Amino acid sequence: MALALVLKKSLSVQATQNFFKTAIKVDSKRPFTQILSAIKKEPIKVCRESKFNTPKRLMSGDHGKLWTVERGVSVALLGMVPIALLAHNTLLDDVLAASVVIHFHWGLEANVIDYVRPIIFGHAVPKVALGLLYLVSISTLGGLIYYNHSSIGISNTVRKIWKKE
Amino acid sequence: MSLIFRLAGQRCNSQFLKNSNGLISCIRPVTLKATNVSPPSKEGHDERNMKLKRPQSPHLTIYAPQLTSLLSISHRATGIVLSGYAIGLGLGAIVLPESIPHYIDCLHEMGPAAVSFVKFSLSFPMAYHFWNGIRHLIWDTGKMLTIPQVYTTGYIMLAVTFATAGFLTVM
Amino acid sequence: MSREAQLFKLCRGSFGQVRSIHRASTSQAAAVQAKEKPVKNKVFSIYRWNPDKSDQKPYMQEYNVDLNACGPMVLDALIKIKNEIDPTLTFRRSCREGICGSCAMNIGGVNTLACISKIDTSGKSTKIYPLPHMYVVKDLVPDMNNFYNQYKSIEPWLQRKDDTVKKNTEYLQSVEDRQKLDGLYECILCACCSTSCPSYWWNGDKYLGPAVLMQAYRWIIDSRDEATTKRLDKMRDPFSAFRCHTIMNCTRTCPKGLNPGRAIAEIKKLLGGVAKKEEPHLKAVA
Repeated sequence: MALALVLKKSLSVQATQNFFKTAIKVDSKRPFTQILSAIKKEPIKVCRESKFNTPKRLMSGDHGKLWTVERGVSVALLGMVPIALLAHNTLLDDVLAASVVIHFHWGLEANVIDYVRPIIFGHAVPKVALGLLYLVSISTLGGLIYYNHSSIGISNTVRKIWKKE
Repeated sequence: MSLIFRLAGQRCNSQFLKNSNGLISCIRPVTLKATNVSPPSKEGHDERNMKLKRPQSPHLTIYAPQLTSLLSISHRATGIVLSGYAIGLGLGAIVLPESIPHYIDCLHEMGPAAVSFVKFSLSFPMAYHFWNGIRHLIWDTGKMLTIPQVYTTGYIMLAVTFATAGFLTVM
Repeated sequence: MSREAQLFKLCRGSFGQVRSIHRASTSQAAAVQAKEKPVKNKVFSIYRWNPDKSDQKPYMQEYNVDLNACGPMVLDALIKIKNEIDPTLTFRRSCREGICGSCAMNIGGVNTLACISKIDTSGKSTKIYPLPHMYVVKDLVPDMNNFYNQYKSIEPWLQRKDDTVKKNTEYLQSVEDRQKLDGLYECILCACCSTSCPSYWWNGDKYLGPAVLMQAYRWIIDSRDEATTKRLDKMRDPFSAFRCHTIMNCTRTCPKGLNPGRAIAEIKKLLGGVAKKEEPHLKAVA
């Protein structure tokens, strides 16, 4: 069966040969190179772009430096928390308040960016949420410093809860 | 089988060699049309797929709970809880009708169970976030990031957390 | 008549004789085997969705497979189901040896390659889903275009300061510098890690994901590459690399045992200015 198929093919080649006699007038000497040079005269432009957009990346500032500062504050807090809570000193309470507020601000900011996404909430809501966060953080810092100076302060609050009366 | 193909090859090749056109006769007539580069589609990935009404494969509901993801989300959860405490204290100090020390006195009046509950609610998130925070800071230096190390440090952290929280609650 | 036809006539009879001998022996063996090998039933619960019936919601379809008549890997079971039970079940596959990355899917709640994932013979049904939080083309086939475009965006090829100079020799690299690439170059871009990352689920449009970030790192720390600053600067925004919160689901799930989480930690150190790329130990152009 294979033999029959191949024989049929060779017959059709005869037909294409006849077609070619009319279609291409090429010198019998070195036919391939002549075709190649014809192709080279009109090179085909290679399409470099993929069918879909490469994702656009937000070039909004250097988050790298912020990352380093965030780690620095976290390491500082590791020491601050036990020291300030045990010292019962107003200045240390203020430093604790500031470092805690900025630490939770960055943490909650990451939450907002991760979860309050434009694809679900649209373009306005994430910006509003971020603005609200700034408001809350600043108010909390103000409130805590006010609390440290006008009332007993953070460390004394903790001491008061744990005090065995 | 190979005999058959060899015979066929000889037949075909002999035809080409006889012909004056040579090997060109085995080329099919095909032309390549040069067109301009089409600009990439402005449609985003999400837009295109939503237009095609394709569903999104399930994620949270089907992904196996693992120590990696569970400890990570707990770190976030304790962070949110602690932020809530800080915000509560800071804003409460301004807006609440009574002073904070007054409310602490009220808590003590509610009995030891209530006090222990509050102590635990404050200690556990603090202890977890603190010890896991150290684990995160170690990871940020590039250390302890193989899976055996992540698991080992995870279990150690959990043990230390419960010990610390327990100690602080009964203290 | 040709020589081949004569040869065929000669052998025709003997083929038949060989066949009958073989049949006799196997039928006896089969009879013995049928008594010894019971049917070991296993239920696979597989995610189905047909784009031609896009109004119908995705559903789970259960298939019973005889494990005693099936290869040990989940891909063997999928192919058996497609061949014998349901030809419409659609999934990607190619090498069947864990090197091409085509058959990446969620098996038993975990992202892995079906061809190297042993079937759990404990008796419970195994749930098979497509890679999580991806648009589904059909059944277990996700749309990978976003993933591939992100890979393209990190320019995964060697870049020298002077790329116009045509060299006839290789760029030299010391053994130590080459060792830095171990554990990075073996990535098969199956997307198991990226699709196991919750950050990639929520922000996959802007966050590059562990697979692409590990490849970005592979080019950053290649001693022969000179485009380090450019590569890092492309990732300084809050989304491209910094959506990683070291959840570590990626390293946990990698079917090739690679560590994208560690690679991203190193990227963060480079971006934060805490670490710097080492000078190459060997001058690349001798």
